[in-house]
Amino acid sequence: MREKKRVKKVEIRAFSPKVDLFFSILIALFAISCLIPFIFVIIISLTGESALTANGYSFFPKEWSFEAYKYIFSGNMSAKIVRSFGITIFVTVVGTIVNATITSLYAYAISRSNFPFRRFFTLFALITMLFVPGMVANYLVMSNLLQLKDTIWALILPLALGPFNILVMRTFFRKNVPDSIIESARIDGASELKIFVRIVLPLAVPGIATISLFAALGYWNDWFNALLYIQNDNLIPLQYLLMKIQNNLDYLAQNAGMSAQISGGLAALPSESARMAIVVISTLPIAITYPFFQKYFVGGLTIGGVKE
Amino acid sequence: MKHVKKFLFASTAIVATLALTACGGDKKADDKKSNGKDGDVTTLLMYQIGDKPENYDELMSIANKQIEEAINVKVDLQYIGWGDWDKKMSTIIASGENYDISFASNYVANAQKGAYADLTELAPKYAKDAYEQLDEAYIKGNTIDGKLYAFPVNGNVYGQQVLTFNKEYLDKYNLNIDDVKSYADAEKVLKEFHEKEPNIAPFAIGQSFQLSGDYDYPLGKEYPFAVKNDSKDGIKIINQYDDSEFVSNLELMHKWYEDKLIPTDASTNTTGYPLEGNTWFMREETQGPMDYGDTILSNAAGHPLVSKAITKPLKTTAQAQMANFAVSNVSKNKEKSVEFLGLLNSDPTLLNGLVWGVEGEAWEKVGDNRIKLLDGYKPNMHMAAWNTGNNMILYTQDTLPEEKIKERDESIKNAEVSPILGFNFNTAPVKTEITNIANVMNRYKASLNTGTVDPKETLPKLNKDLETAGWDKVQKEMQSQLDDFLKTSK
Repeated sequence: MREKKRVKKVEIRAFSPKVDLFFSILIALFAISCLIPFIFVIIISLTGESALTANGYSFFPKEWSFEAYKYIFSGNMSAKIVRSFGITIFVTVVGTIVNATITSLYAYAISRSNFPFRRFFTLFALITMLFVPGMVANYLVMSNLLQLKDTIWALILPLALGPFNILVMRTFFRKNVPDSIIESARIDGASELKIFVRIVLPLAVPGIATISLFAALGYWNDWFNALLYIQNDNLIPLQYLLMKIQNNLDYLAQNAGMSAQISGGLAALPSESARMAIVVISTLPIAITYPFFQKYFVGGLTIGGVKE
Repeated sequence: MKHVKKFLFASTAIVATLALTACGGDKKADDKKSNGKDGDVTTLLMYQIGDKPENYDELMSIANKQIEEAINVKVDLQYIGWGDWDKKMSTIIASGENYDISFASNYVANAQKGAYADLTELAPKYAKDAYEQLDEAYIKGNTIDGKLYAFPVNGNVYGQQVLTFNKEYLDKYNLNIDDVKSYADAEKVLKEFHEKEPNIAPFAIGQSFQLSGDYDYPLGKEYPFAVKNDSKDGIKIINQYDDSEFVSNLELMHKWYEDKLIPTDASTNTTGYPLEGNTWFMREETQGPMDYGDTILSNAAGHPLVSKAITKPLKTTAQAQMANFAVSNVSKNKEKSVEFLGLLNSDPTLLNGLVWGVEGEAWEKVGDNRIKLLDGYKPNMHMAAWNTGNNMILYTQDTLPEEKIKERDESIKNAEVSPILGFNFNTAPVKTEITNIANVMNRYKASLNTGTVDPKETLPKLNKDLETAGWDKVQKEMQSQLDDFLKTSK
């Protein structure tokens, strides 16, 4: 007689080994396909310029060189690049703090059932998610009403509060911070601010880490606000610098036949491998921060999906 | 207690918001104050396309002193990079933001929309000297519906297509290009070169390459609408891809492609071949009178080049609108702005100080209108000539022979005027068709122009697609607008 197979708890949620292998391979392939372009960029940035013009891109370049990185850190654009790097870091750090603070304050308020205007404020946030006013309206508010053109705030404030983050945080507070804890704190005589700082925030770390990562990514990758509002050379973030170089190259290449006087500008732009090196230094730092947030990531995000 | 807290919280939020707006307000007041201190000197905000020169502050402080002395204004010149220009300028215009002067962007459309001030009367009045120096073609080419909306930069009033050869290779292999007057003439020398240097692109072209001919294009070269310049039987809008002359050139390109005289990646290559360096043998360029033959081109390349013309010199609308400055319609200082444009285009000291760099550091005067370049003359230490001001009052280098200057003046006089100079097609009635046609052209133009596909097979397909896209309708509309234009302009 066949013995009845004992089913372990884990196996209920697991695939059979064969299916498991199949999916593992599939995911591995996907992961590799995401990684390869980035590795390729790193290799190109380390390829000698002459090998690049002669043979084109290759995974195994004939000639390795650190020229491109030398160009970034000591070439004629290095001051600009280092400055932009500083701006990007500053905007990301300050912006993330601002964003996380405002978002959690807003979300906490509308997550509590005893807050009388919570419906209004929830809708208030939702409306901005559904109806986008468009670029010109934004521009008018930023440049004419708030007069933020050409200031560092023009890079921070437009991304300081997002409705999506508010909703994620609101659900998080609702599910993870039971009313009874707050009640008991109140009985012990804690003020609203104290409750928020000492009790609610420590419980909400995974959620805050998640939205902080969203915010940090948003700030790090943002170049559009710089395009619209920044004229001053000293306030250009790295991504926008890169974008500018690329746009200029495109423009000059497209209008190559226009006139010799215009194509003269092409010589001032960095070479192929130098551009790739800028891509590397502009992507690597944010890629490195991922693992630090990762442990909070799943918990922080999925909480919104649970229904009671 | 709870209510008091709530109230406090809400009021802090309101105060914070107000403080933020108030900060903005203060800044405005400061601006006004600083203006007042200088004895009511208005500052004109001017937008310019391109890269900011490295010594911008120095250049502008010298220039501003001269401008203030002459017309009692100051200029705040803001550079916007090539690639950002369109996006940024269209936002500035759409938001109605206050500025005074800008390098015209999308000139015809914005002028028709009313974004630019009407200069028909202002220009001859406040910028008299400079206005009178302009070639007639400039005024005609910038006039829209009878009104002038921009002050053009007097530069390359005509343009002509040339085939440019790398002189080093010509000398090295003793190649003769004396008889080159068309694409076909160049075949022999290209073949000879290809045999000797099989790894260097003989005819260096990329995706953006468009074949040229003696046409003028009412909508730009990338659209299949053209007017033949030498046509005897009236001015007719035709499809250049249907014209025998053009088709034979397309076939020639295909032949060259098969013979490997054109790089195999030409139809997809977007980066092109850099002018400097020796990665190419022949290329196509546009030249005008202010290029002084190959002088400017050779300077940009850093090694000697030789060019042979393949089209006739032609004064076109596109050339006239190449670089022009518009005064914003929201500007509060329209007269002063025009006055400044007049000064920039007529005062040699001011303009040369910007275009050549700082006098004494970058150059010194050696004759009446002649200068010698010094060691301080560097690529990013001055503004560009073509988009700054009147090229006729620019000093010339002492190395440039006197004949070249005479040649320049002669050639401007002798250049033909396009039969459709000043014609601006109003695309509103056929907008959808034009978008469709643009889509069709995007599919075909790169592969056809670079010779990657056989025109015998592809051209019928292209023309059929164009027909479906509504080419006939656009042609009829364009022709009737053109006929009206020709009638009224006579």
